[in-house]
Amino acid sequence: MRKLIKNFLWAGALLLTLPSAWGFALEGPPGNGGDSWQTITLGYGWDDSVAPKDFQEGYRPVVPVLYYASDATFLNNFGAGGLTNIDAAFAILNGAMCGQTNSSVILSSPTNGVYVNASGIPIGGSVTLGAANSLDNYSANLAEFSQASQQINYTAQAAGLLDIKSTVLHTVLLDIGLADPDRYVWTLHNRLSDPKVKNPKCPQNEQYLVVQRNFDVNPLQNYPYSPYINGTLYTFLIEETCGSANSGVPWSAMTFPYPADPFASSYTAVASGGLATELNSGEFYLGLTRDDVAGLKYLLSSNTINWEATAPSGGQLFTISTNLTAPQLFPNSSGNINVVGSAGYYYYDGTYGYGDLMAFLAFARTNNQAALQAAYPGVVVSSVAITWVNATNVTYTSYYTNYIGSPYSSPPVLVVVPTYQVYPQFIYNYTFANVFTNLLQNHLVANAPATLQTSSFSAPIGSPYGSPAIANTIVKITNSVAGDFFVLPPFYTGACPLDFTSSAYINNVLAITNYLNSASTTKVGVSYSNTVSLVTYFTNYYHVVYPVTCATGTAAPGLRRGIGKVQFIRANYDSLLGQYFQPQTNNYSMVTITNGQPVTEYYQRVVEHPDFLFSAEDLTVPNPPNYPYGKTYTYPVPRFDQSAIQGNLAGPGTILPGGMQFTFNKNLGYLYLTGGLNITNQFLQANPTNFAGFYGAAWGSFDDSTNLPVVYPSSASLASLMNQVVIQVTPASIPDGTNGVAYNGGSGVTFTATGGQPPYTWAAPNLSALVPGMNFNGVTATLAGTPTAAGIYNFSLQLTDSANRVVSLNYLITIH
Amino acid sequence: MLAFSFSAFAQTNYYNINGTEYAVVGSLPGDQMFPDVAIATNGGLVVWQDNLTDGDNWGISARRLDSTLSGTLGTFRVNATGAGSQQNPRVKMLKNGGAAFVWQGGKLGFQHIFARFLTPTNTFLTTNDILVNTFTNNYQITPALTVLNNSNVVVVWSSYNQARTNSMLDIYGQIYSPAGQKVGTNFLVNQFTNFNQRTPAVAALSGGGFVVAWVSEQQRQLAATAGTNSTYVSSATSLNPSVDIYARLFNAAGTASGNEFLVNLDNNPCANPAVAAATDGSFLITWTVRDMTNVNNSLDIRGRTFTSGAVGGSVFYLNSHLYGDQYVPRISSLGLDYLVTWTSLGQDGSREGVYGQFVHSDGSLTGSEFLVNKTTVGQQMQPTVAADGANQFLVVWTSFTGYPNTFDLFAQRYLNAAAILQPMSAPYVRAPFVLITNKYQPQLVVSWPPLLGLSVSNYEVYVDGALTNIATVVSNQWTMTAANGLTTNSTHSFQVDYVTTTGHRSPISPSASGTTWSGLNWYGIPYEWMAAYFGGYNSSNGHYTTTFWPLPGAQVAAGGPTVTQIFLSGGNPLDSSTWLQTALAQTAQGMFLGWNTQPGATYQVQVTTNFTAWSNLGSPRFAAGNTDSMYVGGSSVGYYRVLLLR
Repeated sequence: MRKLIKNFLWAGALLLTLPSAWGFALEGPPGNGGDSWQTITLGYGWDDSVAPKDFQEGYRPVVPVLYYASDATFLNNFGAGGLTNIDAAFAILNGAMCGQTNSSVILSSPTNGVYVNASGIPIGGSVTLGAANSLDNYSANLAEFSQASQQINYTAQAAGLLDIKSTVLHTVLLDIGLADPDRYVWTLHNRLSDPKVKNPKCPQNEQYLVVQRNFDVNPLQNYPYSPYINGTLYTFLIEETCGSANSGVPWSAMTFPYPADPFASSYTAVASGGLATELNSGEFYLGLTRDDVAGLKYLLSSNTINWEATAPSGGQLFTISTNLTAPQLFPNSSGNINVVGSAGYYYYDGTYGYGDLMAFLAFARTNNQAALQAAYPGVVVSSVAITWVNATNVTYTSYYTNYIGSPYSSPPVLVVVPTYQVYPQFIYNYTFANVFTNLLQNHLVANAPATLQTSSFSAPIGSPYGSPAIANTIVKITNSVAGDFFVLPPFYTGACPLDFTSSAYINNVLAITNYLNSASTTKVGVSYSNTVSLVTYFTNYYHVVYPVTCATGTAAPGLRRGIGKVQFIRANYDSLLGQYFQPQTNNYSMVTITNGQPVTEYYQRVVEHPDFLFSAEDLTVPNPPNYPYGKTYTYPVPRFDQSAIQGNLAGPGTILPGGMQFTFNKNLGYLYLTGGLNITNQFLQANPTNFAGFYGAAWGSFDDSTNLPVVYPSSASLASLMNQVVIQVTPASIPDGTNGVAYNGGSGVTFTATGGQPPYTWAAPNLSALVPGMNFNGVTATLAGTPTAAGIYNFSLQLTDSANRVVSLNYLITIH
Repeated sequence: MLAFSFSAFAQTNYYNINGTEYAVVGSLPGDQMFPDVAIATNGGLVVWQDNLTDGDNWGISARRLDSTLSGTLGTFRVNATGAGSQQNPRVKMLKNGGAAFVWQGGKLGFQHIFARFLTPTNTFLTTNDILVNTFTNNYQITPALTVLNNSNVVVVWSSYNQARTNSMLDIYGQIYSPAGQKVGTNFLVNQFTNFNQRTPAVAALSGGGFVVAWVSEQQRQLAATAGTNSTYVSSATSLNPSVDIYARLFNAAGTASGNEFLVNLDNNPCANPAVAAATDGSFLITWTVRDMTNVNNSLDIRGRTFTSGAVGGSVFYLNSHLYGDQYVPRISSLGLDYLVTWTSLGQDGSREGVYGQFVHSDGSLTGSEFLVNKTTVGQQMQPTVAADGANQFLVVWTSFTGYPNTFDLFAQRYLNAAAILQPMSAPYVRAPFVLITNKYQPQLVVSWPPLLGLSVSNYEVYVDGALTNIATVVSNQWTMTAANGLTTNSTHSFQVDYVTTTGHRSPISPSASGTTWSGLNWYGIPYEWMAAYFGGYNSSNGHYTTTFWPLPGAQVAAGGPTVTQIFLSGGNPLDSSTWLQTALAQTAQGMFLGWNTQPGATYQVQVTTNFTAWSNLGSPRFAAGNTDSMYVGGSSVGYYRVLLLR
């Protein structure tokens, strides 16, 4: 794109600029409201789907917890290692958001997490987070954060590797309210031909209004605009195409900011994402920079009060108000409670309920999902593993007798004789999405010993002869479960939820009273049959439930404080592995300003799909001129909610959660390197000190250690990538062919190589199987033949030099 | 009116390439980056940052160069503190034969300036790193140093918000004695303290003082403020913020000799100043400049000479290939000549390459710009250059080497056409205590580092000042035995030279001597060694009393090493701190073998897989301090031992 420079204008306006501390940019939809000047003619909405917004007109998230997951396509391509890299990126965000400075934290819940290193590996130590752990914790000048977190792994740079973690970190920032500050530190507001000139010419008579959309809101700085980002001064040039169709771009003029000092530490902000608006090969981040945090703090701080709507809206959001003055008893005080069969399961509205945990687990262990959900309506199964065992059915026969040789008048002894019958039994190991057990009462702890009540009979010691025998023996069984379980409503039906998660709403009002089997007086020779009962601690107590009124939809716009932080929690989501996204429920509050007074509003958000979903696809479809080799990755445009914007402003607004799908190009171009990375230079390659090459050969993960970078997918090889640098093969691409016509005029295509240690050995394994009619001569390195089927084919070309360096290249051939 | 000059009357270059490029520190795992080099006629030091040194992010390592500028012995770690990131090392040779290192170290973004001094015997003066900056708020970065005529060392660096709140970066300096003691306090170099002043360079002047050059932004022209204003700009408007090179002279005491002065003459943005001084008192400042007129020229290298009184000449280009990016020059001087090197993007046909240009003190170019690196595939970049003060320059850079070590340091000599070959350094001589059938076999093993980058036909060994060599060898070791007339209790001196494949013979090296043992054998240990620690030698009659000597297999302390083990490892049996102890540590950067060292000693790490056959792991390692550590691979399993060589 930047090779299309037509005219350069070095421009600026002389005004006093004070030294500034921070620099960040805010994003929003291009050209909305008062920003109608953000047209494609001036380069907005062209290759960046967002546009910079002015101070106090930014867009921000207003939900405190977001969930991320990867799907099967991602896992198939990147494996667990790739997922760890995503964890590492979100851990950096969690640490910064939650007041942990430069520590990274992987969260298992909004309040619990573990510290991890920059690679996402736990380093020991857990952390408990509360409402006070937020961006508000940091000092006014954010001295806790470095102005540079960017590092280069030179091995990865030489191999052309792009860092997954850093890419995720960068793109997520761009989806939670920050724009690329380096791009918009200076940006074009207007362009016109000089009205004083008759028959003005372009570009000589073009005039430009340039504004800044990089902000410094340090309390020490009154002027909110800044040409500095992380301490580096930026200036700009203007590219002018004069609207020529030959320019290959839809815009007529754009600003291109660049560091005034060519070798200052530039493009350091993670929101910037490196020199070419995306990370260069070999670059990685150790954390967020000071100015990234400054932007997040400005957006999310409780001191940033915006007129805005709540988010999300519709059926996923419930505005909750609890009537604490009218408690109700659950489960047996309402008329709409039913008892389901013998499972001992009570349900309420068909969506949730409670019951005996032991009975539930026993039933679940031997029944399939359909049977389970029929017996326990509302239970959500997130995964199940099925095995089978040889089970034993035991039939007991009981009778009283006297042992041979026992003294006269000895009391009879109860004998129980088991009879075993073996049969195959399917065993179901379920993971439930909305079941929790009651761990709130000491005597209801799961896995507590259960009691098998049995009886033996004898007369009490010292009792008169002939006194009746009584039962007096109890045998305990350990490693069983006891207690209750509760099924949370899945909300699929939009039912109004009850707040069961707060212990304040659960009261045990009746003590345990176990059943005791009665025992009758017995006599010798009288037939007797007993029942062996497992008695658990599931008892007839109540929950006090306060009625909740909840309303779906969007609360009215209002003046609201920032939520202080956004936390990111990983959720399992992979249908191919039998994992389902577990619906999540978040309770949170926001503070609205009404009549000058802060008022707390309570919300409950139900998350049915991950907010961020990472996947992998083949994105190598060329899309010139912006992406001649296809896209490295795609990430979504934030869902901006502009409903509360007032007047002719362009903001502030909110960013709706959900729907953020990031797609990595799983076929990141090995072909790129066949050109030899012979990168010609031009002016806009502004910081060669950190120049890392624009092209990514493969995805990787790497850090500042001696350990060699990891390359993805696992079928790729670091050695092969480096060998492509040492040995260069031409041509980099091959001409199309025609079905039934000798390829390339019958001469085929002969490959040549330079570098390494000749002679070379050539091979194209499986070419004939992949491309019908074509063959490869390994001696002459020639691809030839007569294609027999039209189509687009991929095949692999392999070269081995005498030092045993192997280069494997993928080629695309189109047969018409 | 701007004054630029291309040297149309380039002088003949009288420095020739000497040999070919060579891996000056060998092939090491990890990435060896941002080298610096300092040399004298008897050798030098190359220092760099890599992710191999200390187990945590970047660390600083160095290697000695012998008088032929070949790497000698193993690498050694410079930074004592390993936590965080140690970067941007610089080194200068001291006039007493020692050296001074500086670097920025600590957590990234919160780094400070540290230094360490080597004694003439190549041991560190201090156990710990020396914190240079006294203002420890915020961060300090990009150190540079020079050695003054009075042997003191001047360190300069950039410090954030030290001058005042929101002053951003400013240049500060500190003078050290060769003994590593501060002379005076930190002093502010620049006078204009608004905005950023960064990336300083410093050079000692022949008059005894020094000059500091740096980048200063917005000193002449402020940046625009255009948040919501309605000021239109046009192609006629050209008001970019100024980014200039400024410089200032100081006397040897660190007192400014005048005001700071502008170095560049136009409004093109400047960066990366480098400065060196000629013997006539003049100096040359060179820098990167962005061509705002011809964007295709992008970044170029320019220079300007100044008299000792800071009267500047014309600004001239150093690079003749103007297209694209040429950047980050480094400079060194030798007499009235300078060699400037830089990185050029795409010029050598494959990414970055290293180029150089000789310049005379009057600003005239001598010869044409030339490609320094022979290997061009991939990246060759971050060059540095030094001169030995007599005959030659040495350029060092980092170069792509392919899988798996990726980047290693390479060097190229440039020798004065009128100079003779450089002699080798004095060889190393050791006297092993070799027994055959329990009888001592006197031996003196003479060794020397193999010469790198020079085409050597053979080496020659001279004994006791003889004018004719006693041996001609192609390897880098020769052993004198009884067959050469060697006897017990005898001392001999040795010298070496080399003959190139073109038939040229180098001067003979300085000598080194060794003494054989008497042959008296205490179960495999020389009597002399036992008597040195356990007594029993009667100097009046030359007799030994062994009554109180421990047996060689006896442990000198419970659980400690045996007498033999201490003898072999070079320790003092009466001082437990000298007993060789090793430890393996698994770090995020892989497995590191650490051991305590005796400063000045040389060790060899060996590895085995069966405890029978041991092989050397890397080169012998010279111990400059009290500890050493070595990366032994990413595996969690390995068996290693450390031997004392001398």
